[in-house]
Amino acid sequence: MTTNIHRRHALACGAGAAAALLARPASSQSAPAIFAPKPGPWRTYEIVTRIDLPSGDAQAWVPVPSVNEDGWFRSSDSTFAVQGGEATVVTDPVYGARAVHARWASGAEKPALEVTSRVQARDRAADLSKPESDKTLGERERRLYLSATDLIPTGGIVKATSDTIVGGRSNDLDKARAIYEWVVENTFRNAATRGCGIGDIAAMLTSGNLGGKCADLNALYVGLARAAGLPARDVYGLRVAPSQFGYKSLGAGSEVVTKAQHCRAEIWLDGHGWVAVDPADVRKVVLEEPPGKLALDDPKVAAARKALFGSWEGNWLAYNFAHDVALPGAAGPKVEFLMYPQAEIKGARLDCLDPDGFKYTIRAREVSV
Amino acid sequence: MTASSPPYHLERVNPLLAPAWRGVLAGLVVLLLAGAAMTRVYATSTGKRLDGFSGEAPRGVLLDSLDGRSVDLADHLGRVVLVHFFATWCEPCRPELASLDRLKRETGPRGLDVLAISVAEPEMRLRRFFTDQPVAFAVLLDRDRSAARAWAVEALPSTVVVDRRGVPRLAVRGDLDWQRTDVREALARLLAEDEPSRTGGNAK
Repeated sequence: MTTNIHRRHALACGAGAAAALLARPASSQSAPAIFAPKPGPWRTYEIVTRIDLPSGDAQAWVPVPSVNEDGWFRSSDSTFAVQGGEATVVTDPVYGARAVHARWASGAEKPALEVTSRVQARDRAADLSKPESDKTLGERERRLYLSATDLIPTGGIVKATSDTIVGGRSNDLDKARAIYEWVVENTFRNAATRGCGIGDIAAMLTSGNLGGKCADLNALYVGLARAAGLPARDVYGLRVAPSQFGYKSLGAGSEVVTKAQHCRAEIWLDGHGWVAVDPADVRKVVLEEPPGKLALDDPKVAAARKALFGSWEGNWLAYNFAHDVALPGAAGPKVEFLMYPQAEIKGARLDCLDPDGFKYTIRAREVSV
Repeated sequence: MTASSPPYHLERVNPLLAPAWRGVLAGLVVLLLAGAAMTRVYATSTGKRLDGFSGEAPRGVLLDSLDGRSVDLADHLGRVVLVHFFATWCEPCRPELASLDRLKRETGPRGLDVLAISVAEPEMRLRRFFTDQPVAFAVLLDRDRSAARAWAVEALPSTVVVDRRGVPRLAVRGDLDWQRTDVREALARLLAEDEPSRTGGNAK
């Protein structure tokens, strides 16, 4: 468990980092923008998710990091403490997404669950100018990451749009990049979207409303890629630290990361393996990076746009790749993705996008090992 | 749900739209739109309109309501019913719910009902939303999207208007200002149609 000494140390580091960021030029126009993640040292983070429910006859599911990828992310074991009930770790049979599942009987006093996870992450970057890997994608994974989900169909308007975007391109890398550029240029981040969005990409394309947040925009990338025959997947996670490149919009602002969920995408390219893609964060820089509402040719946007096809920064944890997750024992339906804590009281699903009413908190800090 | 030839095009139904009136009304519409945009009380989308319903007649609706009842569309035979699909995360859906609430309050006594179907949203989120923004119609829970699929809903919000005989007649994909003159006139025509006898209706 976290010690006070560690927490104070982390706070001191956090204050130093904040001061360093403040010392950077505030205006995006006044300095050359550099956003160029490259693999470097691993950083270790501890994440504590706490749920407090108002009554018993309840159950909760808290996602725990379940991704282990050579080169950029390691999930260590998670521990949990449950008050007034019992809990166990459960695993989604399709994607391997893990969660702590807690149950409280009616009459349980002060039902609470605290889950502590440790992860290691570092920046990742692919050199797309030459083949780097002889890895192959297994047949099961290829099928899984080419298939439709409840909200990501790969036919109909998704297929038609994808066909138009990739046109006559025959090279997978060219197709993947064309879809990335299309999403960057045709979508926008909508500040009014609740949470990270829902990712109903057929509805987005059908309605012509291409606004949303990461679960919308990056799911759109994934769907368009799958429709083009390119295996792709969403990676659901959480920002856990500030950006070391000084991008305020691309990092956690404090230890409290209760609302810092962020999902990215990956695309499989033979010769490179899984490649990082995050067009939603390009649109986030456009909307939110101070002074805000930047143009696509703003240097900060241009740098992020160049980097976020092939690389991303390791100030973020990956929970899982899962869609349409049936929560074990739940009365309610499947969840579109498992990025937020979930709970039910007397069979009624709580609003995972309302952490204050729910209620839950998530804290993250960097720790030395 | 697909759109086809629109039987309720504005120019075909509104005799006021003689050429001499068009300039005046156009200015009025602009003013009204500007007002709506500023207040954001009601749906502001003006490009959408009620089209004739086409496609396969959907199966019924049988869902739990937010207040714990089981609601069956078949029980509304004899009334005009708006089967409305929405989600509270959907930005244009929110002001449209206020517009539908006003519609229901004003035309309910003449025989119009609204069944607002929340697509795959947690109950507690809906309870909080409708506590803050109460409405005069039933809110139904399409927990697993089965109703949305059965009604071929491609985007939220979407609405199908079912006549007194239980036949889908009009549809709109996207948000609509339910106070608009052409929309109210289209609904008024359906409300004016005879109610079927309880034994002779052809409800699907």
